[in-house]
Amino acid sequence: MTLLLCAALPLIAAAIIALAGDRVGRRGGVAISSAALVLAFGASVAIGQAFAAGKSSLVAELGPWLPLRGGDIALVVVPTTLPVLIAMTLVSAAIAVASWRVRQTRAYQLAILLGTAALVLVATAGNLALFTAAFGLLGAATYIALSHDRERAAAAASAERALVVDRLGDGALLLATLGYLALFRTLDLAEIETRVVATRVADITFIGPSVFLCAGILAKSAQLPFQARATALREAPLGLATFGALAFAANAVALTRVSFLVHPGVLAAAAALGTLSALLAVVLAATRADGRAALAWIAIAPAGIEIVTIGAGASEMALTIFVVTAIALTSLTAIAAIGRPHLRWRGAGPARARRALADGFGFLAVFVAVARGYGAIAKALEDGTDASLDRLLGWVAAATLRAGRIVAHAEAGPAWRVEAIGVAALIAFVAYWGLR
Amino acid sequence: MIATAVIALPLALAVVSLLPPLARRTRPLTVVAGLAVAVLGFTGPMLPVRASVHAPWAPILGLSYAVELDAFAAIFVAATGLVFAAVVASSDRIGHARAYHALLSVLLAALVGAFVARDLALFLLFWELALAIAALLISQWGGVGRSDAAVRVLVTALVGSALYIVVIVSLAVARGSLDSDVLRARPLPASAQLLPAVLLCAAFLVTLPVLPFQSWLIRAFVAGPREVALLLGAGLSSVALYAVMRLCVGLFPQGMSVAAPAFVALAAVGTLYGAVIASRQDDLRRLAAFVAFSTINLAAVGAFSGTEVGLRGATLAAISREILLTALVVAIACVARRSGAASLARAGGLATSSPRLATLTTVTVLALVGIPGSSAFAADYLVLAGAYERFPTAAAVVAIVIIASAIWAARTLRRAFHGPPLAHAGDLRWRETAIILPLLLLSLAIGVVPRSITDRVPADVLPALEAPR
Repeated sequence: MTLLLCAALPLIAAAIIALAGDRVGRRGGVAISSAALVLAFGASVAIGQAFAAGKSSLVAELGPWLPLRGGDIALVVVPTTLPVLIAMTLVSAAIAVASWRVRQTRAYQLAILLGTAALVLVATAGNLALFTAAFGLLGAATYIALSHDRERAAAAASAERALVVDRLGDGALLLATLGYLALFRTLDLAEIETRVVATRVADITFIGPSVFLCAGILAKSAQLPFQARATALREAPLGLATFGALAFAANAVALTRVSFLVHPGVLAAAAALGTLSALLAVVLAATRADGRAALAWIAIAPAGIEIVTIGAGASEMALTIFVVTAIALTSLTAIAAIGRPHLRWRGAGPARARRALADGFGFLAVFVAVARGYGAIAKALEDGTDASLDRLLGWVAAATLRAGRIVAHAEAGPAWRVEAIGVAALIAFVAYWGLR
Repeated sequence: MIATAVIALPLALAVVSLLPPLARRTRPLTVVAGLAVAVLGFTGPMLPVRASVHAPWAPILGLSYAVELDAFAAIFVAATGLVFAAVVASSDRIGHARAYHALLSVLLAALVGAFVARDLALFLLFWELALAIAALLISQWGGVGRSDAAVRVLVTALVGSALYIVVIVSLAVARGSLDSDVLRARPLPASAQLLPAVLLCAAFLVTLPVLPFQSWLIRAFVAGPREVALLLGAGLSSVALYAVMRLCVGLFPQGMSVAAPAFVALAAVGTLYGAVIASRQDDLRRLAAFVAFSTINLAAVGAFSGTEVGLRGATLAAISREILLTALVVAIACVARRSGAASLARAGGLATSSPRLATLTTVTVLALVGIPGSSAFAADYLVLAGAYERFPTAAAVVAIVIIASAIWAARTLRRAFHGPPLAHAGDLRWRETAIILPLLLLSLAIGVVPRSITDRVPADVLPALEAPR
């Protein structure tokens, strides 16, 4: 029941706002969406308490859905997905609360509510059909978020591009699930996991579904060559852009749930693309003049790093990166709420300086998460989690990982020193950009 | 008894609506006819009355009045009644309303009759009646190009009927009966099933329609009255799909199994073609026509695949598209009323002046392209899963439709609702909302509980080798 609440509360609130938005009014809508998301966070914390008290898994079977084996509506939480569940409901609740000052449209509220429900389903779906459905629902939420500014042609065009890329991911995921259904005759993830023999995943028959699965997740997490979804975030207000960044990271971390089904070669290729994406994202984010463009680009980086760590076989590390990213995004949201709702460094005098500094701290939080991610990869390599990683990913990945080591763990000195230098440089960099 | 009632009720209301005292009440009466058929269809199989009637008609020719409202037919009857009621309720004023609405009710009776007919000749009778009345309605009440559209509908009817008659005459000679239950009990040998399966299927392919027979449907949408276009694009197409499952797959399973690859390929290409061409349309009526074409072909992929999952998916897809296509057509009519034409070129920025219309149309369009939660998602998933079992390449082609349909959906929504407003029109009126909203809620409900539809597919339609779950 508690698990069900995590997804049901946002969905019920979305239904109320969609059907009776006129009657409840703007403030009423904000109150309903905030209350639903805070309660969903509370429910996920309650699940966390249950796990702390000794529970090892939680299953909510809601009844039959598709007339396929394992196609019932079932949600599952295990210790590895619990942090993801808590982190994503936390960020959603933070965004909802921090957005009180923003003039929210109904679409704004709907996007966050539907998106949160979809993220919960991505993290807890008990079967592949529900897993695919959750990604599709998240795509719809993203479309609503991006198109909510109805009179701006650029926002509409971004939403259009994002929807097409999203559906491309949906199509790939659908084909992947059908491929696995043909191989295992069931959609139930737990049943599939018990049937998978590690060596069999390397069979040629797994390549097709694995390619589609990875392509779908790369598209959903805005990795190369599907970065159009990330750049579209420029057109969204800060709250929705932050939520979009969370969604990318959550989509990537979802790969941990199905990585046991992916052919090793395909996983390595996905990791290489994740590496490239993360590298490109950091470089492009650092060179953007527009704060929202920078946020849009940097949103890709944690997802890329998560995919690399999953490719390296360090799934726990990917979860850690996700949680750190979620905390960073919450900080960014809170800072923005104190400063101002939109990343626009206009005006003059102290207000402008304060805004730029606020943005600087916000970016700092995200950059630290990215740096931590690189550090995580480096640590995975040092621990020898997957000795063949360098060989598999090639020189691009190796060079990036080395850069990651330098940024995060500083082979030449204590980590904190390098981080401090990086932090100072970033604040100066962003502040300069804002004040010039 | 109940099967006869669902045919007789709209016919009776057609007669009543012709009476002069009710001249100003013909539209409500016609809506009532649709709702009554929907209610009877929904509750019929649960009522404690005989569901079937088998009475001799012309025994020497092997003909009988055989009708039955089983659970499978009932869902199609209910959906068609609902679609009929919704689209008539949304209709504008029209000249010679009494005759128009009476003919619409007869068209409904013919469609419903085709669903419940168990005799192949009786099916033909209802089928032809529906097409003839549709052609008449288009020629008399249509817009520019109505004559051409009506002629195409008639030619389509004749081509399909010619093929169909060849098959039923052969069956009457070979088996002495055209009662589908009798024919199922005395099946043709596997080696003799291919030709009748192909001919019968070809008869329905023209009316579904599949490539390259879609032009009559497009013209009917553009030139025909909205109600007739929808009853052809949603109702008649569903009859054709139902007939493919009940007659082609049900009577000639081995023959269909052999012919399936060609039919699946045709339907898969049609699905993609419809979605791609829809994304290039400025005229919203043509857009709706191509969407109708694409979605019925997707359902046909599931039906032709012949697998249990595919057939269940095809049934769900047919019902889902009837509901959502109706919502889309009504929404398009609302857009046209506010922008002065059913054209995307004149409809920009409506979200500002008509936010409720924008919201409901957005949900309708997203549901049509298969966003999770909608009935279309479950339907698409099952159709693809069914097709993937036997025809993975076709399933991959159909999966591309997911992307192509996103293009038409996003483009349509952007051009109609986003940007600076071109016209200052009012928002949806309560009557318009009351038509679209229940359809969307129904689609969402089916999306959450799709087995309320898929479990109604009877064992005689499903392949014998697979045990139903």
